[in-house]
Amino acid sequence: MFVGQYQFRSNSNNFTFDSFPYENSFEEMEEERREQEEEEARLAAQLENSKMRRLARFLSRSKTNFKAKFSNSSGYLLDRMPITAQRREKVRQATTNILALPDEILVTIIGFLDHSDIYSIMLVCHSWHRLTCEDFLWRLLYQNYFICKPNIELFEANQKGKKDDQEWHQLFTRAYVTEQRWSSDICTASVLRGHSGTVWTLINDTDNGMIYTGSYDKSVKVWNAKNRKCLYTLKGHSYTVQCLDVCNGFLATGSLDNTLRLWNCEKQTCQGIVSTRAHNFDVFCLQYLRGNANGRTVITGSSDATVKLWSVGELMDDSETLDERVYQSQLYYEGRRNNIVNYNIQPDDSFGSYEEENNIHPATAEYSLDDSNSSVSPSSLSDSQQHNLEKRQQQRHRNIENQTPIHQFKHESCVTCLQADTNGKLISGGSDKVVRLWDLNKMESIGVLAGHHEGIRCLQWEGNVVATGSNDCNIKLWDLRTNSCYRTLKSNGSVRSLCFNGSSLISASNDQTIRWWNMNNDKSEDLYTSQSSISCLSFADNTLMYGSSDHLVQILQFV
Amino acid sequence: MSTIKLESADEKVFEVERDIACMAVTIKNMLEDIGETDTAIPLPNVTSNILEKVLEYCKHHKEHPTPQQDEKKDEKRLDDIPPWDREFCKVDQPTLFELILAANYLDIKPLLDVTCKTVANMIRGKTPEEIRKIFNIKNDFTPEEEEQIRKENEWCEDKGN
Repeated sequence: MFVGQYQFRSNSNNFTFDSFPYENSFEEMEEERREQEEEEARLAAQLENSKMRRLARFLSRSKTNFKAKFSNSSGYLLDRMPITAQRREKVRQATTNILALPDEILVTIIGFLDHSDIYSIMLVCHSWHRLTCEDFLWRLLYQNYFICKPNIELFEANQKGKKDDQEWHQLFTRAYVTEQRWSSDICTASVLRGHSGTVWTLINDTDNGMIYTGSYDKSVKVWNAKNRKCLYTLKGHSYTVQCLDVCNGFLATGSLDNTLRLWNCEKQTCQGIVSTRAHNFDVFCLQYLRGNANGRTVITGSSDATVKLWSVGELMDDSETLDERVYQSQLYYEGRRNNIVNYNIQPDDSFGSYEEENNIHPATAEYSLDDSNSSVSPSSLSDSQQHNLEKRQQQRHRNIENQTPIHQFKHESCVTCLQADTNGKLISGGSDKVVRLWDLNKMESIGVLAGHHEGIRCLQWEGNVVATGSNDCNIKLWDLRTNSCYRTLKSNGSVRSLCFNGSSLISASNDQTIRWWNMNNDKSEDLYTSQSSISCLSFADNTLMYGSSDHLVQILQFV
Repeated sequence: MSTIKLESADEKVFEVERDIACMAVTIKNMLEDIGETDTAIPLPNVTSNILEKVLEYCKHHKEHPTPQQDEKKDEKRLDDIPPWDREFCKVDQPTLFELILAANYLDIKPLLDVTCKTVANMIRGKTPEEIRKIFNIKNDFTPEEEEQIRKENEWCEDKGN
C-alpha cells in the first residue's frame, strides 16, 4: 500500500498551501513544483484505478496542487481539516486588499484604462508605479490608441513573430505627443512654387527625399523635399496630369489627355507612352503594382468606368527614351518616303476593338511631335542599316506605343480612386457610389462595399481597414473581414482627399478645410482652412502637404 | 442532464450541470481528461460562497447567452457591461477580488473580463488620492518621488482629456 508515503508527506507543514501563487517566491514554487511532480509521478505509477491515474495526470499538469485530494482518498481527512480552515482565512486576508491580486491580473485591469488613468495609477504607490512600467501595458495602450481597431489582430500577429525589444512606453509617448501637436498651432509652413495651374496630384516619397507633383499646367515637377527646390519638370502631356506614382526610378502618369506615360527619373525625360488611348476618357487614378509584379505593372482607373492593368516592364527595359525613339522613327518615315518603300504600315489596330462609339480618333502614328521638332536626313544611312532600323521601328511602333491592357475591370461610372496591395488584391472606388474589391490573381470581383449615398472621391486601405471619402460628405471606415462599414465620420462638404496613418486620419473637403480624426475614438479637429480649394493631400512623418487651386503645394510640418 | 460534483476549498460539494461547469475551461479540460467520474472535483482555491457566485454567473449566462458583437470585439470598452453582470458585480471589494481570482483560476474569460472591468471602472477618471481612498492603499511615496513621476509624465497631463 502507498499509505506510508503519505505519512511523510503530511508532516510537511505547507503541503496544502503551495498552490498560492502570491505566497511563495518563484524559486520556492519551482522547488516545490519539482518535488510535487516527482511525488505525483511515483504516486501515479502505483495507482491501480485507471481513472485515478488520468486524474493524477491532469493534476500534475494543472497549476494547482491537488495533493489534498489524494490524501483525502487515502484517509488523511483529519490532518486536512484545520489546515483548510486556516487557508480559507488566508485567502480572505490575501484578497481583501487590491494590492494582493497577482500582478498579471492588476495589469489586465489597468489594461482597460487609458493613459490618463495610468498616469494617476503611477502616483498611487510604489508597487503600482512598478506595474505601470510594464512594457506590455504600453504596447496594449499603443495598439488600442494608435492602431485601427480592425487592424489590432494583425498588429498582434505581426508582433508575435518579432523579438519584442521595442520600448513601448517611449513609442507611446512619442506617438501621443506627436498627435497632440496636430491640435496645436505650432507648425512650420513652406511652399512649393512653380506650377501654373491647380496641383491635382502629389506624392511625398520620403525614402528618397523627393516630392512629385502633377498639375493642370500639363507638367510634372520633381522637387527636393529638403530645400523645396524644383529639380526638373517633365512635359509631354497635352492636358492636366491627374495622377502619378513612382517606383524603381520610373514615374507613371495618367492625364486627362487619356494617355498613360512612363518617365525615366534618371534621364529626366519621357521613357514612353504606354498607350495614347489608355482609356476612352480621363485617366483619373493609377498605381504601380508592387510585390511580385515589382512595379512592372500599372493599374489605371478612368472616367470611362474601367480599371485597366498595363504591363510596362518592356518599356522600362528599353534603353531608348521616347525622344530617341521619336528621332529614330522620324528617320524611318523619312527613309520610307525617300526610298518609296511601300510597307503600308498602319497604326496598330489591336486597340481598335475599344467601344468606339464617340469616334474619338485613335492614336495616330504621328508621335507627339511636341517632343521633338528636329528634322532628320536619312541619306547617311546604308541600305542594311535602313532595313534593320525599319524592322526595329516597326516592332516598337506596334508593341510599345499602344499596348493593350492585360486586363480590365468594370465599374458603372467614373473610377476615381484605387489602391492595390502586394498580394494581388485591388480596391477601387467610383462615382457609382461603391467600392469594389478585386482579386488580381484570379482576375475576378471579390466584393462590393456599399453604403455611401454619393460618388466616392478617395480611398485608402491598410490591413483590414479601408477609409473612403465621398461627395455625401462622409468618411466611412470599412472592416474588410466583414466587408461592412464600422464607423462613419461626418465632414462638412464633399471629401476630396484623405490619408491615414495608424489611427490618425487627415481629410480635405470642399469647404477648404483639412481635418484630423482619430479613427479609434470620436476625436477630431480642424487643422487648417485654406484660401483656395484643396485638390490633393499627403501625410507622412508628421508632414502634411496639400496641392491646391492656387497652383501651390503647401507643406506643414508639425515638429 | 448529466451533472458533476465540485468541491470547494471548505469542502462543500456542489452538484451542477455538466454544461454549466464546463464554462470554466479548467473544469472542462479536467473532465475531458478524466472522463466520467463520480468523484467530486476538488477546487482548493475557491471557497464555497465564491463558488456559489461563480456558478450563479455561469448558470445565468448559459441560459442567457450574449451574442458576440462583431464590431465590438476589437475594442476594449468599459461601458459595455450588460446590466445583469453589472448587478452581479455589485459586491464588496473582497468578494470582487475573490471572484477575479476564481475566474482566473477556473479560466472563465467572460467573468474575468467583467470583474476586471468593474475594478477598472472604479479607477477610471479618479485622482491618485481618490484611488488610494477607494482601495485603502497607503501612499508610500516621498514628495520628491512624487514630483519626479509628475515631471517624467508631464506629456500626458491636461491635453487630450
